[in-house]
Amino acid sequence: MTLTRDDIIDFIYEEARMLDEGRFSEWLDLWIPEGHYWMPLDYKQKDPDLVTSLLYEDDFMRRLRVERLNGERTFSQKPKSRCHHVIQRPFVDEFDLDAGHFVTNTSMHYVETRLDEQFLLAITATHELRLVDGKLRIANKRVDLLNSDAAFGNIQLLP
Amino acid sequence: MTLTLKLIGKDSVVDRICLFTFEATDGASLPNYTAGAHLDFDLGEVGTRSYSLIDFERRAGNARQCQVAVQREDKGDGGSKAMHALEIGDTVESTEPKNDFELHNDSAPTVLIAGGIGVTPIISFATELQARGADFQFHYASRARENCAFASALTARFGDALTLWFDNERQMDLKSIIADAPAGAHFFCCGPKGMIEAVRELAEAEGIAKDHIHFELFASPRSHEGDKPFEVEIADGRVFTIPADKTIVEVLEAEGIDATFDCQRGDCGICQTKVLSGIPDHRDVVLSKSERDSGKVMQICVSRAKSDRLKLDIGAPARKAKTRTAERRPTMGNNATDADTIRALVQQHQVHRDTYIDKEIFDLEMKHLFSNTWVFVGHDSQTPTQGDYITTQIGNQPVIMVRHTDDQIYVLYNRCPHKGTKIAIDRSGNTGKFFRCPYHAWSFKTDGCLLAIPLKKGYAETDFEDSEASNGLESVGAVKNYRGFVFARLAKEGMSFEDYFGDAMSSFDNMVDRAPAGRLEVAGPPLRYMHKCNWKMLVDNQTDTCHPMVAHESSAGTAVALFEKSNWPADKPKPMAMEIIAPFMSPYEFFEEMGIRTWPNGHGHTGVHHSIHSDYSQDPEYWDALVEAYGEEKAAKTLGENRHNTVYWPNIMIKGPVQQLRNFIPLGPDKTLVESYIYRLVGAPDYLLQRTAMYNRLINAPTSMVGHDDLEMYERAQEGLHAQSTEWINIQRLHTEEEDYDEIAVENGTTERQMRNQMNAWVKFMTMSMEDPAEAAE
Repeated sequence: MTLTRDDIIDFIYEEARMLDEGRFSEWLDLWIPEGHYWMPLDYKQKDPDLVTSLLYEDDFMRRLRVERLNGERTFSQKPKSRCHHVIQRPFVDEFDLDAGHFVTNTSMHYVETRLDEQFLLAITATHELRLVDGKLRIANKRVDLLNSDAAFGNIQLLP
Repeated sequence: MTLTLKLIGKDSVVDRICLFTFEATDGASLPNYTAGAHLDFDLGEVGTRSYSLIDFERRAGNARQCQVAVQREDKGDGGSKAMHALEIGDTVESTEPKNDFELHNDSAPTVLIAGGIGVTPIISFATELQARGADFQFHYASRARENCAFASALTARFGDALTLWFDNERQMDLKSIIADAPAGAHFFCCGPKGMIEAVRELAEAEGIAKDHIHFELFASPRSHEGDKPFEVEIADGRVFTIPADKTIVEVLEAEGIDATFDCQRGDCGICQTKVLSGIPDHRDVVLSKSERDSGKVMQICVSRAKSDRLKLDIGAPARKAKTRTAERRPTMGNNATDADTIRALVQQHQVHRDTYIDKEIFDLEMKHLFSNTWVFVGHDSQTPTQGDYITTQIGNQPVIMVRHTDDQIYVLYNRCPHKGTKIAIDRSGNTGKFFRCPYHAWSFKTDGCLLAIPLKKGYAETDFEDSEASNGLESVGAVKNYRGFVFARLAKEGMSFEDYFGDAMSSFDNMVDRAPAGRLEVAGPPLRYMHKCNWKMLVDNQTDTCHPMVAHESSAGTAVALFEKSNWPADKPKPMAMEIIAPFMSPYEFFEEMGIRTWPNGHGHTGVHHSIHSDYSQDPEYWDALVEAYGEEKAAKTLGENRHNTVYWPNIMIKGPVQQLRNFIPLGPDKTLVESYIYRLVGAPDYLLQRTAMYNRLINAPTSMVGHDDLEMYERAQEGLHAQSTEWINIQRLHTEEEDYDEIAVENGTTERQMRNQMNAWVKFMTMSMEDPAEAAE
């Protein structure tokens, strides 16, 4: 089987659906362990490490986040939040079949809700994907919020 | 048989470790024992503790003395502290020596592996093996050179057989030690659980026979060697046996008895049970001394029995809740500025809810409290060159902080004197030599003076110079730049900066002294986190040491559990995230002992003796830079001070050890913007800033799990306060009648004294500029 651009795009859609359906454990398995999930704080931020980011999560932190969502004493998730991604067709910016390396750029509207509150974030997600044993995996994911420098209340799920 | 031992020597070895030398009281000789043996000491109310006997010389028959080394565990359950409290001449009882960790007797070579204070039995093994002329290696890991007990004595004695390893220089390479060990070697390991597990795993992977791998686990805080089974009889007469490795709660649960419990660490108090007969062996941190001594109650999740049987009152009907008469506050009338009305809102042990929910009170805070106090504005590295400015607010007052052509920092009201237009609305920028109002182009020097007005002749005949508008952008009452941190007082007259903060600035000093270059620089923009609660809830929470293990169980507790499951190799450094997040789960006792210091005018800090930041790993390169800048003594003193949160009343908190400042900006009675800044230690390696940035995103971000835990509590409280139940917020914990907030005090780390101190200052600075009703009447 040869991987096509459509397969890359389908993968991005499938990930969004997993998050919206709360299939977080499955989502964890999409990652290669060395990957980072990065949400910068500053507009066009370059450095994830020596200035503050909203998120810069390795495998351990991603697992902790998912584990916490299911915790018995996670009071900020009583009741649980729900989220919803509306995504535009991803741009496939890099498509290197030989190296098994792909980069996409996807515009999304992300909605998160809990109790009577609901908020909307406009985001651009950049996915770096790799082919591992014939399967696409997330090598890195960067999520830029349009208003990353605004003051937010709790953002509890995964934009 | 019980031994009575007299302490004849107590020598400090390294930080927190003491070598204790005991002698038999009656001049008799002590029973003989073999290397690896331990004594079970009876330490009175804390129970029995086991310590390995150390022999630096091969033990001769009929010896009269013996030695143990004990590391004081400030987070422990009191055993090590009870040992450290012993004075020369004191006597203590112990069992005869017992040995569960015997050296092998064949001629095979030996590899000894010790971690930290686990070195004690290993020393005796090395002594024995050397005396036998046997082939052995002795590997000994410590966190750092300065934590390595007996380093020089062991080096002198064991020479090439000994390898010292330091986590902060060269971590113990267990893999090579085990892989390169001589064929047929026996492995003896004593140290922390992670190390033992790693040795076991690696040795098994190398195919080493199980009977050649020997361990002794060091330190299991609440279960002890020598625990014995005992019986528990419950109300209906049934009797259960509690085995040595199970708790009462575990057995009752398994038997289907409905026991109420929660923490299973002995600190929440929920499982407290009446003891009808028998003698409990208390292992909790809940009970007071008199409760322990009474023997009438116990925490059945951790405590055991000294007697063979305990009769417990389990299954008794619940106590009926007391009903109290509600106490209402005096009604706020139309004279809201009446200082007496303000004073009536704050009692010693409780605060009226209106201070947290009432709009009128909030407006008075903005008018009085945030005018009379010194409020944080910004850091001078945010405006490094002339003309650089930031916009922010003091209370609800919009201000500009700007660097003028004289290189000084000025704080000006952000309001054009003409029509009120805000002069600058960018969060930061450079204005050059002057500000120019975007509406009618009035211009102002960066110290606020009016520079020019277009078509100025229109004012020529108007006595314009007598109008307030001619004064330009007004400066706030007073400004102080303290080692880079800029504070302002809006009121023209009032308390000086020095009188207002006094000794409290020592926390800022410690933070800045951590920079080899003696200054900090802001690192990037702050996190901005909106809270639908009153600003004082955030301030209160900074010294609230009784919430982390409860509210953050979801994040920190899960992290600890996840990490334990992860089989993290002992020789691999812990993830930085764990170093940051795990201490949030420290037990109550840890927080009690960390201490709280309060200063006059509402300032105070947690972490007098130690804190959740004390055990962060250090970088040798940083240490060298600090020593070069300040000398070893001052460097050690600076890094030895690990204050947790310092509150500068009214609305900031700093963390010196991680170079953070959180600004709780009041936007309304139920709305607060939290800005969390981080700073670079100028001259220090990036490693430290990396941790600081990580701390900020893990703890302070709107996307942070710890932040979610806290905000959920604040918002629930903000809503709950509106209930037509009691009108008062309780701040009574460890309150005493003698508290004088004008005095500096250091107290138990779980006191709510700092919250009382804050509200005392609240009244002081709220009423300072209010009309006194007595004077008004005259």
